[in-house]
Amino acid sequence: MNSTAPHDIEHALIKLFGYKQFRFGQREIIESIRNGNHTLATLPTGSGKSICYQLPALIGEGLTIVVSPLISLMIDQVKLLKAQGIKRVASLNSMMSAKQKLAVMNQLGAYKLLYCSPEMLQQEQVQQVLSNKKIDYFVIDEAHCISQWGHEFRPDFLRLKDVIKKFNNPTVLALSATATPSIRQDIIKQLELPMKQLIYPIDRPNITFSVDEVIPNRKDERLIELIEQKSIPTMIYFSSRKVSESISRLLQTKFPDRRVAYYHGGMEQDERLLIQQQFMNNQLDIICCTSAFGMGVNKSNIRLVIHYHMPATIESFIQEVGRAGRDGEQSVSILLYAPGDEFLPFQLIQTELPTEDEVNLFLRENLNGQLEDYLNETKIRFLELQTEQHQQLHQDDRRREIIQYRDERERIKQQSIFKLVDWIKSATCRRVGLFYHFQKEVTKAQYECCDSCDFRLENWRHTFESYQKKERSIQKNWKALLDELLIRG
Amino acid sequence: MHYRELLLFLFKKLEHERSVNAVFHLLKGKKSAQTLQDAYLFQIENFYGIDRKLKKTTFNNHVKDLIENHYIQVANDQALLTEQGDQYLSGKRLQSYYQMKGHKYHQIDREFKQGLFLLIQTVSMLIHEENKFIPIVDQSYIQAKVRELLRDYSMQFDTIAEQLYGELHTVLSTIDDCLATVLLKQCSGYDRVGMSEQQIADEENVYKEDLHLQSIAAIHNILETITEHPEQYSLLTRLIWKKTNRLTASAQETFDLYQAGHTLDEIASLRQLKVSTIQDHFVEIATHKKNFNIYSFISEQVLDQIQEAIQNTSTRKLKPIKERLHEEIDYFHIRLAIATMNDDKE
Ligand SMILES: Nc1ncnc2c1ncn2[C@@H]1O[C@H](COP(=O)(O)OP(=O)(O)OP(=O)(O)O)[C@@H](O)[C@H]1O
Ligand SMILES: [Mg+2]
Ligand SMILES: [Zn+2]
Repeated sequence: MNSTAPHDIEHALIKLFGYKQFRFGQREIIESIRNGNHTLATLPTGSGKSICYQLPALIGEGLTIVVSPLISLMIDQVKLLKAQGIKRVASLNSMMSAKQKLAVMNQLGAYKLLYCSPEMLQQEQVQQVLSNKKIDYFVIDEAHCISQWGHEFRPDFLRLKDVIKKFNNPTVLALSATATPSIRQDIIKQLELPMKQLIYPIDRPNITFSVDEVIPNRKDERLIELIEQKSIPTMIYFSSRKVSESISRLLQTKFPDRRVAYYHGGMEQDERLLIQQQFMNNQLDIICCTSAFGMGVNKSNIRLVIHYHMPATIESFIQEVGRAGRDGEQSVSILLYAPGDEFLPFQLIQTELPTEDEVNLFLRENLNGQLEDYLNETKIRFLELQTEQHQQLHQDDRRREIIQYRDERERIKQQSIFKLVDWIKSATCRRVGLFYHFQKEVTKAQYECCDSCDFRLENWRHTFESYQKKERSIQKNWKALLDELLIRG
Repeated sequence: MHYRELLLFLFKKLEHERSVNAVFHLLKGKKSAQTLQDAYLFQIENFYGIDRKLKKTTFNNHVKDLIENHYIQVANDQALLTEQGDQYLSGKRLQSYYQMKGHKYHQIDREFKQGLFLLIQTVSMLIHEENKFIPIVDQSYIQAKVRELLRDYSMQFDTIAEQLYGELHTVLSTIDDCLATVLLKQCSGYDRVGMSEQQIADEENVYKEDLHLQSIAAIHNILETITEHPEQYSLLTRLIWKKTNRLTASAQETFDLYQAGHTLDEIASLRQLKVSTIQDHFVEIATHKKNFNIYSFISEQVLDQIQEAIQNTSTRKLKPIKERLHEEIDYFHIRLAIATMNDDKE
């Protein structure tokens, strides 16, 4: 399809992004889609997957659509590109007003890259406008979400195949850092496309893994000890918004000269924006967050990722740990585990899947308009999707099918938790334990490997300079602040 | 000023007259005739719409706390101050404190603040020769306005910086030091991202809502000064964009789409809202906009009939009017006709 010589993409890499050479895998992926192959590719977190579609999009003739699962991630990418001077990008998402969306759709010709949520692509108007455009590439970033979320509460991921057809079959690129062989199979099945697979190892040789088992009510103590010893840029992951806030406050009192903040999905948009930018601008030493601050977040110098709670899947764990060491320097992952911790993720399943009674209630009663009083949004969406899919069945059969499916999802979710618990409790190499789900061979660690092999946290002598002492803004008055802002020092 | 003091003060004003929720609506700036009338009736219009993002749960928590501390009792949905509450309040000079002007500025304060933040950030970046940065304000119309402003100054960054510094220095000197500081801590610029209200509140160990009152007061104070002396603040006054628009944001959006050539039904499906909601918007538009042409919805003839019916029933209740009219004339038409009779339009 494309006849430009290979050195042209090298030239574009320098010109558009300022990089001298491609990283591992990037060239192959770019060439694959430029030759018109539908492609499914895996590369590790932080390896530069974005460039694999941004570059072809910018030098292509038509428009590239990027489907991205998290709105915040999408908005971020657009802002970042614009700040880099790449202006022909936009997004369509549910946070925008109808007027803003129209403005984007009315001048699609001005864009090379359009980031969209899968839900947005279901809107008739959007489909109509886009199906009249020449679309070069259709990219699905974080493609494992098709398989992980599509089946339960974001059915529009499963409808992407129809969207692709409506757009006259552009070349599809699906990217992920955490797609196991079975998830890869599922992605291909859901997209109903023949896909070339470029599966690169996704392990991160510069990250050292360790699990720290603690007595249940000593976790805070242990965390404080860790933070005290390691004065380096740190992210701490929680599964509860509330706990992320309270630990953030605790740490701030314990360490008044470090800059601590929290970030989670329950915060207001503008506040999230500020915290994230402070984080990117090295104004924070420690950030306490939930998985809302995960996938895609790209800061180069995070040295330590602590899990205060265990995540629900190995994939989420790898995604979250993947925020560390994106500059290639040594970084450490510490998972704090107290016996019984798995209870929390097991409990979370119950908030994500409807119980049998709830399925019955949903099917039997006409709860129009007051559904929300009985069921949370995730459950409602699950049930709506299921009823839709089994529309043609008789009431009883439909009920049986839905319950069966719900049981199966529950089993899958429970199994992922068990897998992670097994990993936590195992005494063999952590890297092997994590990555054998994804690939046969595990790359040798670049620094220390893990706590099962050669790593003792106490002996870890990192050479990173710690942050400068926090300046207490509390002592500053407005005149000083105004001078700082508007007088060139 | 603490949020709870303010709540107590407002409960006092509405004691025996209005429900607890009336205070919530006031602070949120609910666009209802009742709320607005009450604001003036009880002389609390200064606080109208000063916390438009207030959540019901946050409000309830503060109320609960006032009850638990025995400052108020709630009976029949109304808040009554206890003796302790009265005593507490009597020592405060709340009305004059901070000099908020909610009724005057609630429609422009947020845009002004964001425009100010973006202008400060941009100028700060530019004088440090940093022209690639992520704007701290997302809204594209605010970005566009700031860009336009810079263009008018033919991009003379040093001149703008000097003038902005001068105007801010003067205006901030006229307001309380604490308020000025709270505002500037939120500003971003070169190598520096501003703090959130929550972060400042945490640092000062107060509630986020307390801090919000301070920032909004700072903004109102600035607005008051610069609109009184526009000649001294030619740059800052440029950040006041909307002349107090009386439409709700949602109705404004409908109006914009309408002006762009969309029909009522199209707007409903575009915005994924009910047709009846969009009809409400049009009634609102017809009430407030002089240049709105109602004849695309009803014929002159029908309008005459409705107006006649209104005069003959001498009421503005809808049902009796409808009963006097032809079946095909629906409530939407009648409401539109009533709206055209409002002569206080902009
Ligand atoms: N060829 C290259 N040379 C140098 N730096 C690069 C190159 N390609 C990408 N990068 C940089 O690597 C960083 C990580 O890239 P990116 O965010 O695309 O990673 P990712 O693979 O999408 O990770 P994740 O799975 O966590 O989303 C970015 O800062 C990017 O600019
Ligand atoms: Mg990415
Ligand atoms: Zn190992």
